Amino acid sequence: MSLTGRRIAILLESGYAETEMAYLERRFAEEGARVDFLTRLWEQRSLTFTGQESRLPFTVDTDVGDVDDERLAGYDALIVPSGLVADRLRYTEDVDDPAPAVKLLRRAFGMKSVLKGISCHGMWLASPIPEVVRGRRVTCHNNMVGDVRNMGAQYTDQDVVVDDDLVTSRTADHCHLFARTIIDLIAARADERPFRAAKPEVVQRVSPGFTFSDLVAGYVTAHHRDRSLVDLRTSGGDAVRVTLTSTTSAEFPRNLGDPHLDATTHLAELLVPGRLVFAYGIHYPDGSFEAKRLVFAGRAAGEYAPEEPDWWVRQIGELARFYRRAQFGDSTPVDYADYRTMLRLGGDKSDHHVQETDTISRLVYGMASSYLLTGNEDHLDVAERGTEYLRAHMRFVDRDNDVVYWYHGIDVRGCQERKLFTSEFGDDYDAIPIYEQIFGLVGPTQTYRVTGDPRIGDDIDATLRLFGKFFRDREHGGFFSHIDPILLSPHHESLGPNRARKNWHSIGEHAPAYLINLLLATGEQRHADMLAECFDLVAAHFPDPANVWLRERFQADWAPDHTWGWQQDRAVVGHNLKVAWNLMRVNAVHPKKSYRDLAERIGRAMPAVGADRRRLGWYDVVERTLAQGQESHRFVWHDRKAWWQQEQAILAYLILAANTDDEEFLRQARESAAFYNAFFLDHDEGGVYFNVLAAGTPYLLGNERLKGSHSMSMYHSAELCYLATVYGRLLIRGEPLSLWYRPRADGFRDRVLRVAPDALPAGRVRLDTVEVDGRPHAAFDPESMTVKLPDSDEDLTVRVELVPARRGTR
Amino acid sequence: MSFQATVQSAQGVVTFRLSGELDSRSAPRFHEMITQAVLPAARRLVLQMADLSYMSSAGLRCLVYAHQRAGSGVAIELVGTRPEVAETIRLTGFDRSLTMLEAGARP
Repeated sequence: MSLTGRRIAILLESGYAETEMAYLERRFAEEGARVDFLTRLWEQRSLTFTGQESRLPFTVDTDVGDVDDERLAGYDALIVPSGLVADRLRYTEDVDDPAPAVKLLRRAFGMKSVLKGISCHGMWLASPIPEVVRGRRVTCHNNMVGDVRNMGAQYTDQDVVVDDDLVTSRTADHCHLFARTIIDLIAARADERPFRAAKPEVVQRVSPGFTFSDLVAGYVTAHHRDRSLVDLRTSGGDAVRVTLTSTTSAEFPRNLGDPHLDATTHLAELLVPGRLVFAYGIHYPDGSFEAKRLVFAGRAAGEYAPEEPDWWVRQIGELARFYRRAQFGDSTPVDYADYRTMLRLGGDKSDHHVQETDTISRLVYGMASSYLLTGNEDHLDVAERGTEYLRAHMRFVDRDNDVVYWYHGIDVRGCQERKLFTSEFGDDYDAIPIYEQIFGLVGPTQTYRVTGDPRIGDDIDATLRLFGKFFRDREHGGFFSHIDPILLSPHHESLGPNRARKNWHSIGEHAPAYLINLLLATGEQRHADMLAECFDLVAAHFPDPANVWLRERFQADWAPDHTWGWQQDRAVVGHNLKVAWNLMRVNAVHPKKSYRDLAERIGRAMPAVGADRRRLGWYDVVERTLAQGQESHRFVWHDRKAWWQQEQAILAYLILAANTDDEEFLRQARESAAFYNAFFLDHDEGGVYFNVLAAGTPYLLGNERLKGSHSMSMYHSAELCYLATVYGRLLIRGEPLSLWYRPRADGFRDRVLRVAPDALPAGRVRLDTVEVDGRPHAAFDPESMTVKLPDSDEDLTVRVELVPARRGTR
Repeated sequence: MSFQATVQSAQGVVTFRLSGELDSRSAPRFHEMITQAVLPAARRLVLQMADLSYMSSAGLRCLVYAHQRAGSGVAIELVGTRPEVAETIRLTGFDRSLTMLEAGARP
């Protein structure tokens, strides 16, 4: 009885092989598994099919269309049997739209945790979706060999072939070997299968013997109105029973700037199966969990608020309003002399008078991004003035070396500003970290995309020369993380633990911070080459064959460094996700199997180790290795969740879903976005919280209560709004997207405005319409998404509409 | 002309007299001098610049770095700076952090 509690789905149609079907049904039942038979019911309640040998009847009452992702993920295996089943099930009325059973199989191929078992002529079902078997080792009936080779699979002359999560069998006569292999694989995978929907007849109860409050997130599976009970299934597959009380309140999702939307009075209609809900409540020693606050993820079951067309656009507008008011009040134009890096929770300033380059740069990024999405000229003005301020106050023009570097910041107390040349942060003290130079470019580069200001272009180029001349490792490749402030050497002994080191920031952070945006703005090959150079190094050195977590720090010769400062042998969850996200973006520029494979590997591995499967959301920093007896990676400092790591997850899984059409990735993206929007938005003061506790309550102590600090400012929160809009509209949902540009009269030396919204897979998006100063403009190229600008003595306002070239993933 | 520097310290006022060319080769020596001289209890840093014919970026980095490490409240005065050196300083934005005085003037 090795499969007790397991579930197996078998597809069925007329022309099935009776002996095979009888054997599989009995054999799996013997092992304790429950077997469901699925077919296309053609809107009937049930259909009775006949076998191919003796016309034995077989009645099926479950439609493949009723198997949603959650249910599909609950199956340990999906089996396509021998005979004519696959051929009949691949029939489709619309030849451009695969049959429902084909779509089910495609979704199952997107879930590694679901074994795919295909026997004999069952491979027919994969023929409309050959990408799922391309390059994979399979066997099949001799008559099918040419077909599977045409599908790109690697035919292997064996009775049964196992290729990871795909099991194939030669003919119906090998059903005993086929069943044995599947049973063994399910049993072997039992421990690692994170999503197990099959067990939950037993509702999990948490009871340590005292009361405590906690959050649970789950999909409604049942609502027992008479008993005020709701059953949920968590993302991790646990069943949880929630008791509703007379003081349980409920809320609809709420964006920044929205009023509180009470849902308490509609609970009965809202608690329908499939709906994702967050329940915060109290566990009692008797095992019951009484909810006090429910937050829904969408207005209706299957709907997610962040997928409303303008959700993120409204959010970035509200973020921009918050930061503008906090930093500059109502004054127009804004005066950056008033800017302060330290903002309290409510946006008011303290007596700390430092202006850090990177926080201004991040604010500029957010404001420029808000302009791109909303066309709000005030926000662009804030971005442009910030860029000017950086140029006037934070820039060190080094004529001897023909480079530019950026001060860490300035202290503006008193009548003269004091330059803070080297970093004031503990990690980087007394050095010039490449991290700060990179983020000095984040805002100016995003502004450059909009205006083409040649002065910004020159400063970016001079900073790139700084990287090339002083940070680059000519011997082993890549860039060093620090140089000393006097000789600008990565090898100077004053650097201490930062001497001759490399890390994620020095190798990979170029891409998200400025390099992809710079390539989008200029189209220059040298930037595409640098992206490939950096991510070839990521693909070569970051994966650890022995560990699910990436390596993040290195010596000059790429030997892993497990001794550095706080990092030791620890993993930052958000860095792993950021690598996956940016590998897929760089893959759009330079398609490479190594990028895509690593991104998918990270995407599939992370939920089990970095996510909170019970409450949703993503953790912070964990120990990479498990000590003896440990089953989960230990948190280094706490189990809080930081806003920027949620961003990485949302963007990584959106872009992975868009590239693979994998429903499991889309589910991760939705769950991550649901948690972020439910718990990180500060509806009272504006902006977003830095950290929340595991259960979603904001954590407001120490530096983490601030809103302007080096990582907060307006970068990650705005980048999320901008790119979740781009990916969500154009790739996931197949909706058009409007963007705004404001090329200066002297902007873009070649007078070509490049409006590709991100590094997106080739051919997925095209430019549809262009307006210049409100009038239609015809000089543009839809495929390259470039606009030939008219010569003008004035700045121009350009609004473009981008459209998807195919239907969305969803 | 080779770089030369002398330093005097009295009542929290550290005075350097610089001459010649402060280039990238002489910068480390200047760095050592200025970090040692400025750090303890300095209130004001005065640089007599009239005889300094050239200041490299490396030399300026020493100055900016020393000013940062000296902490807030340490004023820098540059006396008699030649125009081409002043332009190098202006390009680094460091002119916003100091007072330029004519040679001979004593505020």
